[in-house]
Amino acid sequence: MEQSFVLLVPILLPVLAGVILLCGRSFLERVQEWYTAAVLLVNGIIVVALCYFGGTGDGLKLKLFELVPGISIVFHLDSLGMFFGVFASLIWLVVGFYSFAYMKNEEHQTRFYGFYLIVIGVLVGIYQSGSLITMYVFYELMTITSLPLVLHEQNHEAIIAGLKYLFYSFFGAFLALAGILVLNAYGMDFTFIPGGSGAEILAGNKTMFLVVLGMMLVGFGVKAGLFPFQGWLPTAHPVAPAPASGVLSGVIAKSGVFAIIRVIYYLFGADFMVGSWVQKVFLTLTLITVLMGSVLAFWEKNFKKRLAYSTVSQVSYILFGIGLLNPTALTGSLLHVLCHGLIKNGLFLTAGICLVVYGYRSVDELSGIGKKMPWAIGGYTVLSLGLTGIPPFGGFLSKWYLAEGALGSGLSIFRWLGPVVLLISAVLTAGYLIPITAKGFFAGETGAGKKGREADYKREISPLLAVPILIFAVLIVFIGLFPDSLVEFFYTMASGLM
Amino acid sequence: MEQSSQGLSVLKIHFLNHGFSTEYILLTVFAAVIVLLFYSEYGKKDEHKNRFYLFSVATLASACGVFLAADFFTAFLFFELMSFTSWVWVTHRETEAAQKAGGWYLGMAVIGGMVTLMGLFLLYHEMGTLEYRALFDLLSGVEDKSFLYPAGVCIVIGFGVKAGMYPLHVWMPEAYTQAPAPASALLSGILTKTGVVGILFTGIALFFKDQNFGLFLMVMGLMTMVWGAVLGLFHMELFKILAGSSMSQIGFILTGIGVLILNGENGTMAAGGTVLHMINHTLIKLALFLIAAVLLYTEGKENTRKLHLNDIKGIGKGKPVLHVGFLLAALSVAGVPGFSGYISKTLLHESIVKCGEIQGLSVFMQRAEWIFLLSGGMTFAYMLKLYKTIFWDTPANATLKEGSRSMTAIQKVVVLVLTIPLVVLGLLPGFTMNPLAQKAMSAFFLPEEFETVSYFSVESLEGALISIGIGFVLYGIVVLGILTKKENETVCYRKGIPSWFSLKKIVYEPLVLGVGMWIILFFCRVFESIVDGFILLLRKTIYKDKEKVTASMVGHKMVELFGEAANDIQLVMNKTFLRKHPSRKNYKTIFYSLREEIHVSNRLISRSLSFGLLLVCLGVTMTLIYILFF
Repeated sequence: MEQSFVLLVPILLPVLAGVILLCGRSFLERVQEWYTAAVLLVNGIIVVALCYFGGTGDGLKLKLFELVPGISIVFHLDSLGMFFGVFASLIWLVVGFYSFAYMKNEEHQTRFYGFYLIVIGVLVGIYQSGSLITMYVFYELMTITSLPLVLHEQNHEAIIAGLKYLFYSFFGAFLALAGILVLNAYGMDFTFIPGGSGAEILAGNKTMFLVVLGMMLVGFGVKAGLFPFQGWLPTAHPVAPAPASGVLSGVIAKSGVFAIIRVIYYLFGADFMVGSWVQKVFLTLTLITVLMGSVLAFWEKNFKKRLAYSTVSQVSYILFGIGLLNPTALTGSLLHVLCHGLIKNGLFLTAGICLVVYGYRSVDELSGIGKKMPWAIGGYTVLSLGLTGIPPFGGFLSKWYLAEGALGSGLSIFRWLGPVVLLISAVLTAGYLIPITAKGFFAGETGAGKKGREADYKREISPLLAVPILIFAVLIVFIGLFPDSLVEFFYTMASGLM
Repeated sequence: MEQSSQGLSVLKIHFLNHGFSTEYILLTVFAAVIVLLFYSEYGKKDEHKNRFYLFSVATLASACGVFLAADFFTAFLFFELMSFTSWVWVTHRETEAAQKAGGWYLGMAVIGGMVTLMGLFLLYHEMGTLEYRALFDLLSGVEDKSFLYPAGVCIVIGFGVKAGMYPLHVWMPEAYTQAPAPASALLSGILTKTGVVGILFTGIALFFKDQNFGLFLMVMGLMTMVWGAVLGLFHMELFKILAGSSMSQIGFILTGIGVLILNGENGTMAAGGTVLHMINHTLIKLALFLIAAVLLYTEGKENTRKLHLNDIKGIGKGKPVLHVGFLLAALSVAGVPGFSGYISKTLLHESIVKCGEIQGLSVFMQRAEWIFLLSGGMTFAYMLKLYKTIFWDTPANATLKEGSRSMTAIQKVVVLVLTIPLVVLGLLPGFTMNPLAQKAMSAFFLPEEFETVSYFSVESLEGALISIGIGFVLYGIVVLGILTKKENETVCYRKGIPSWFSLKKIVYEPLVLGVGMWIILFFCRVFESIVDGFILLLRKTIYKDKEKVTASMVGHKMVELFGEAANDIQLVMNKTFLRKHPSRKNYKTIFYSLREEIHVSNRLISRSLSFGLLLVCLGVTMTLIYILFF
C-alpha cells in the first residue's frame, strides 16, 4: 500500500497552528485574525486539493502505526470523507471571517481562535479516518477540543452547559466504545469498507450484534442530538458565542451523523440492519426527535435556543434518511447534511448579530429588525425558506429525496409516516422561522421594536457580520437551482454503499 | 440506477404553452398593467410603494409560471413562490390587523403547500412522473384509480386553500379586507385562479372520467358555492361581501370541473363553462375591487378598514362612471342575460342538467341544479344589496363629504376598460366567448370542437330567470326583512354575521392552535425531560446533595479574622490618608460573599463531575457485562 503522508497535513496544520497561537499568545495577539484567516484558507485549499488530486481510484491511504497488534491508526480519504472535509472547511472559513467581527466584543479572543483552529484539524481527522478505532480517537478529541468553545463565556451558565455537553458526549462515546470492545472480542476488522466487512462474523451471532449496533447508533446519536439524548444541544448552543454555536450545530453535530453512516454502511453493512428491529427502533427515535424538536422550537422564545431545537429536529431528518437504508433516502440525507449545515450556520450568525449588536435575545424583541438590517434579515429569510423546504431553495431537494426514499423503502408504517412527520415538521419550521421575518419587516409604526430603541436604527453593522449570511444564502439558492452534479455525486456514492 | 437518474431529472422546470395558458397569461398581464397603473395614483401617499410594485410583479410572474406549467412540480414551485410574495400584499399596510390576516394567509398557504407536497410525493412514487400529459396517457386505460385518491385529495387541498375552497377559505375575508384594495383585486381575480388551475389539472390528468373524484369535486364546489353566497348575503362589510362573492364564484367553477371530470371527453360544455367563468370572474372581480377602491379614494378613505354598509351608504351618488361600471359588473356576476356572466353560468347549468343523463346520478344532479340556481339567486341578492346601498341610499351623516376628491382620468379609463368588455362578451357570445372556450380545449386533452348551447333560447333563459326571481325574493326576505332595522327614524343595516361566528374562530383556532398544540407540546416536554428528569431523580434520591452548611459560614474563623483586619485597616486609612473621602465598606460581608461564590462554583463542578462519573460508570459497567457474558 502506498503511504500518503500528505493526508496528515490538513489534520496537523490547523492543530499545530492552533497550539502555536495558544502558546505564543503574546506575540501573535496583534495579528491573530490574519493568522487564523491564513491558516483556515490554506487548510481549505489543501483539503480541496487533496480531493482534486486524490479523488481518483481507491483514494489516498495511510497506515500510521500499530496501536496494539491488529489495531492500527489508519487514514483513508474516500468520497464520503472528501465531501464532509470540503463541507466543514468551507463553513469553517466563512464562519471564521464572521467571528473576527463578532469576537471583537468578547474577551479571550486568542483562546477562541486557537481552539477554533484545533477543532477543524480534529474534524478533518475524523473524516479521513480509515478505521473505527482511528475515528473513535478523533471523535473523543473533538469533544474535548470543542469544549472551550462552549465554555467561552466562563459564567455559571456556560460552565453548566459545557459540562452537560461533555458528559452527554462522553456517555455516548462510551456506549460506542462498549460496542467496539464487543466487536473486537469477536475479531471484527475495524477498517471501513463500503458495504461492510465481517458478514460471517455478524451472521454467527445476530441477536447480540444487533444489540451492539443499536448501542453504537444511540451512542454516536448523542452528538447528533438523537432522542433521548438531545438535551445537550438546547443547553450548549445558546451560551456559546454565535460562531461557535453555528459550527456546533452545523458541523460538529454532523460528525455524529458521519459516524453513524460509517458504522452502518462501512462496518455492519446495510444488509445486516435492513428489516431488523434495530432499524425500526432507530427510525422511531428519529421521527420522535424530528417532531419533538420542531414543536419545542415553535414554543421557544429565546432565539438561539429556538435554533438549537431546530437543529435537534433537522439533524434527525438526516438520521431518518440514513436509517431507511436505500440509496434515494441516503442521497436525501447527504444533501440535507450540506443544506442544513449551510442554513443553520447562517441562522445562528443572524442570531449572533441580533445579540451582539443590539442585545436582543428573545424573538419578541425582534420586531422591526428587518428595517434595521435589511440585508442580513433578507439572507435569513432565504435560509428560512430553504430550511422549510420551499422550492427552489436547497432544502426542498433533500426533503424530496428523503420522502421518496421513505415511500420506496417498503417498511409498512414508516413509508408514509415518515413523509407525514417531515411535512408537519416543515410546517412548524416555517412557523418558528418566518414570523421573525414577518415581524422584522412589517412591524409598522406602532411595533414593539420601536419603543425606546430609536438609536438601534442608526447602528452600523460591519460587513464581516452580514456578508457570511449572504454567502450562505447565495449557496442555498445555487444548490436549489443547479443540483444535478451534486445529486449525481451523492447518488453514486450512496448506491455504492448498498 | 437508470431509472433513478431519470428520476433525478424529473425535478426540472417544464413549461408548455397552450391555448388556455395563453389566455390566462394575457389576462394576468392585462390585470398587472391595469392595477399597477391604478396604484401609481391610488398609492401616492404610500411610503412603501416600491415594495408593493416589486412584490406585485414577482407574484404575477409566479402566477404566470403556474399557468404555463406542464407538470405538477413546476406548478408547485411557482405556486409556493407566489404564496410567499403575495403575502407581502396582505401585510403591506403593517397594521396589527394586517399582520394577523397575513399570518393566517401565510400559515394556511404553508400548511396547504406541504399537504400538496405530500400528494406529490405519493403521486411521484406511484406513477414515476409528474407531467400532466404523461400522467393522462398513463392513466387513460386504468379503470380503478382509487390508489391515487390519497395523492389527489392532498394535492387538491393545497390548491384549494388558494382557491378559497370550503372549508379552507377562512383566510379570505380578512386578507381581502386588510390588503390594499388593488391587491385584493389581484388576489381575487388572478391568484384564486392559480389554485383553480391546480385543481383542474389534478382532475384532468389523474382522474379523467373517475366518478368518485368528480363527485368529490362537485360536492366541494357546491358547498363552496352556497357557503360563499351565504357569507356574501349576511356579511355587512364591503370587502367581506366581495370575499364571499369570490368564494361563491369559485364554487361555480369547481362544480364545473367536477362535471367535466364526470363526463370525460364528452365534457366539453362543462370545460367551456369552467374556462369562461374563470375569465369572467377575473374581469368582474378586478372591476368590483377597483371600483370599491375608487369609491374609497374619492372619499379619502383608502386606509379605513371598518367599512360597514352603514358607513358607505350613498357614497357612489353623483359618480356616473362608477355607477355604470358597478352596475355592469354586478349584473354580469349575477348572471343576468345580456352580460358575460350569464353565458358561462348557462353553460355550467346546462352541463349539470346534461350530466343527469349519466346512470345513477340523476337525483344528485337534480339537487345540484337547485343548489346552483339558489346560489345564483343569492348572488343576485347580495349584489343588489351592495348596489342599492352604495348608489341609492341617503348618506348617514353629512361629514362624509370631508376630504373627498374627484375621480382622476386614469381611474375613469380603468373602470370603463374593465367593465365594457363584460357587455360585449355577453351580447356577442358567438364571436367572443365561444372561440375563447374553443382555444382552451386542447389544454385539457379534449376534442377540438366545443359543444355549445343556444344562449338565448327559452330553456337557457329559464334558469337565469328562476335565479333572478329567487334573488328578488331573498332580497325582500333576508336583506329588507332580517338585516335592516329602524334607528332614529332612518333605516340602517344590522351588524350582520358576528365576528366570532366563523369557521376560523369556532373550529380552527381552538382545535388546531389550542387543544392540538397543547397536547403535542405536553408530550414533547415529557419526552424532552426524560434524561434530565432521570438525573434529577437520581440527585433527589441516591445522589442527594450534602446539606449546604450555611451555619458554619457565619462563624468561619479565617473570614472573621481577615474581615476584622480589613475593617481595621479601613478605619486607620479613613483616619489618615482618606480623611476627605472616607470609605465605608464592611469587608467582613464582602469576604463572606466571595467565599460563598467560590463555594457555590466548587460545589457545582464537583456535582456535575460526580454525575459525569456516574454516566461513565454506567458505560463501563455495560461494557463489562457484555465482555463477561458474550
